[in-house]
Amino acid sequence: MQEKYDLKKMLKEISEDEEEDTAKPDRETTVSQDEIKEMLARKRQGDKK
Amino acid sequence: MSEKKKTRILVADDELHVRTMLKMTMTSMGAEIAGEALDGNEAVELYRKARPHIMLLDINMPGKTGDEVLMEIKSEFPDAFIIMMTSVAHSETVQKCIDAGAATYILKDTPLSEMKQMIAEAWQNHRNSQGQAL
Repeated sequence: MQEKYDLKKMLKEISEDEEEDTAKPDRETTVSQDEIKEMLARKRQGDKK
Repeated sequence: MSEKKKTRILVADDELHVRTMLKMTMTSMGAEIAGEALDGNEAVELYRKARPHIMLLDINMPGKTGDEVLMEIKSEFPDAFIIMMTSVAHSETVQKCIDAGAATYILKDTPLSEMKQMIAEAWQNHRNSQGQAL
């Protein structure tokens, strides 16, 4: 019984961890203004070709 | 920006203090405000009516989001000069707006002097490219 309890507890903890990770808004990659400038420059270079 | 014929700006942002800041910034650069929109639907309608030289466009707005507004206006007016002015820094959103034809993409926490410089440079580049095309 003790073993079953532990497994259940572990699954619950994993599930909670996953929920917590999903709720984090910064899971998406964010960029700085300087990185945006580089992205814009790449686009302009691509448009010129 | 010319004294004789002022550059006309449309500001689209649902937050009053941001609109106020942007209007003050743009008028300090010699531009005039052609209108201000409080949501995405109004932004599209006002663009059609006012046909501004420059649109400053937020992303998180009620109605339509800024990226939706950008795509709608660019499909109707391919030469529209639209600057994204937002707090959204997600790389996918930034890339999506750049690919859709945003003239530049400015994060709201950018220092005011840099913000002005980016707007002026983008507008100048646009005018130069328009001049070459004519």
